[in-house]
Amino acid sequence: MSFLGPIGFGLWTYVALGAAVLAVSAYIIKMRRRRFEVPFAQLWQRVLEQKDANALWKQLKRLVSLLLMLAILGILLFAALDPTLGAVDRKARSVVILLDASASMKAMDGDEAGKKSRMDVAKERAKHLIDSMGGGDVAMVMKVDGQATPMSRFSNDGPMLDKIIDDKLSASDTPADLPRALGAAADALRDRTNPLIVIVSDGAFPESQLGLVKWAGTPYAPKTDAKNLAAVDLSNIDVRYLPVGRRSDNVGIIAFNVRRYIANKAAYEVFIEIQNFGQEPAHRQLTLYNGQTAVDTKRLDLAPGQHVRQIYPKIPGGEDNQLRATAPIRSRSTTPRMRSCPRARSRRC
Amino acid sequence: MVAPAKFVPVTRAKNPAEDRSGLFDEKFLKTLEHLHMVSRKVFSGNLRAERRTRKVGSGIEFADHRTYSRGDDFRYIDWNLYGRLDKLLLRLFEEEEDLHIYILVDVSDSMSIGSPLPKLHYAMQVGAALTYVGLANLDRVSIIPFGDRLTDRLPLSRGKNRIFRVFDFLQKCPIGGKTELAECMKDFVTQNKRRGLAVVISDFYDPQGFEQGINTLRYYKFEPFVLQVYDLKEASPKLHGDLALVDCETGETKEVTVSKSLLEAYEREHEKYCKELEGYCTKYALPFFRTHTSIPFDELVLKIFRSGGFLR
Repeated sequence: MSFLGPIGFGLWTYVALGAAVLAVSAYIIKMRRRRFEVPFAQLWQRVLEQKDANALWKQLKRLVSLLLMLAILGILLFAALDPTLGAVDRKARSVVILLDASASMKAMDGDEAGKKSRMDVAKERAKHLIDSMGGGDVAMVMKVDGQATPMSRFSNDGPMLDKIIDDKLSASDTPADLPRALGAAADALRDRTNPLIVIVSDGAFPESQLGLVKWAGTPYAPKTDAKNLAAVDLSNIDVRYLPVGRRSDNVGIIAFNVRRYIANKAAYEVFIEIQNFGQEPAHRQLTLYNGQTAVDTKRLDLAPGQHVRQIYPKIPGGEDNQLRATAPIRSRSTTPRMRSCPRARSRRC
Repeated sequence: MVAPAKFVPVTRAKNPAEDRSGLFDEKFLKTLEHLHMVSRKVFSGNLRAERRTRKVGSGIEFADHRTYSRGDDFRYIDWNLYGRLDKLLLRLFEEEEDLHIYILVDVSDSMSIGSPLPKLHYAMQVGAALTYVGLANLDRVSIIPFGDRLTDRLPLSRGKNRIFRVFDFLQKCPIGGKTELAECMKDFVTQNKRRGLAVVISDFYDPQGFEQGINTLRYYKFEPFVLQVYDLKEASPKLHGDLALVDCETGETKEVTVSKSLLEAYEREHEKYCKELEGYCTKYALPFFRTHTSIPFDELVLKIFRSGGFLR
């Protein structure tokens, strides 16, 4: 067991002794009963004789109350030392929690039942992390999507950070920009003691982004030989990764655009971009709907990390002026353990 | 919410009952005069300063005959009977004597407790009022304060004009000490051979009990008149918390943690003690009055007159 409190054990001992002496003194003072004059104490004697059946308990009650008071005082002072089980001696840490809020965090595979999204689980992990912080630790919560947005200052106010996580963080529709987030976190941690970055994410980052980070010197450094002059330098920063979700197909429509022809106002041109974020080849059936009617469908075989761009010219306007694209898992490639997050985009014309 | 009773602290600098300068003021005198007027109506028809006794003597009411013996006064020979029976018989008459009233006031330390008026002051006012009525009725009245002994005495006096002497005596008589009713009554009956009405005004908080003292009066043919005075706050104290209760007379200390149930038990015990005294008096047909200091003393005195137990 180690103690993380701001005061030393020696000082604590003096404080504890002083408090104990004060408590016992106060108890002794309290034991000096107020004296009151009565005209006929014999009447009280008669009453007390009737009530003295539990005299032993009455005598013990005072001793028990003193011991209880000292025990409570001891517990309070012990808590002031901020004892931590299993922790080694360390100084207060500065933690930046990078909470992935990219589109992939909407996937409903956070738990076995499929009732929680990855974002929900990520929030729980982040709050658990905040709750386990020591007395001198401070943390900052940063939202990571297309941008890196600090949601708080460095603070040790756990309930406040928890509230920010609950109220102000939700998954967006953009991919996560990991290098930018790591850069912002590294900047925030500059000149701080014991810097620590905790990434709470499903890990669905493009390989190209991972190459922009100089992981050398960190215990969780992925094996990459990427060299980049703009790489984020994370040396001397402890970077940890808290994974959420499970590995699965990760194919998504990352761009969907509709444009009306200048010459023919009744027709539209549709642009769709789809990308496989997973580590395995993926097969998708890309279907474009005009209202409730499918106007085109294509089979796509996507290599890991592959982008595919599709352009659909001269699509007539529908009755409800709504175009929609889906890319569900094709039946032949579906396996029970691979629950993908089918992404659909729609655009009103 | 009722504030806790403010008992007089043990380490008080001065006994509040010591100050008796304002006890018998102008208002008190007016009240006494009123009581006297009322008492004249109540006692109308009775002979003034005459009280029939079982003694035979020189009264005017015929009591009995007895055989003439040498040296008897010829004037009391019943000549009519001599003519009929040819025997010299002497006519005897009931002795008519003044009533002797002894006002015994408890001045022990327990009587000094009470708020706003100490029980002692109340007892003295009642005693003075009864004395005044007695004096005004041409009875012989004596006031005898007692605690653990008979501390002083106002000799038997007669006549209304003696009332200021009574006031002066009550204001200056020494007070304090324990209550030892039995010893005091023993001394009283020894010192006062003339029997009469013995009005005992006390709280009867005697650790040895009240029975023996009253029994002594009864055995010596006095007519005990029991008047118990108590304070409402001592009957229903508003205390709480851990206290050391000190007996004001004996100094005996009882450490108690006062709770609601304990207070209720005490109130029951106090009531029981008072009922014991009342039951004792009822058993021996002794006039008994119980009063607390919140009742005006003149109201109590009128109640005593109307009950007929005082001055027959």
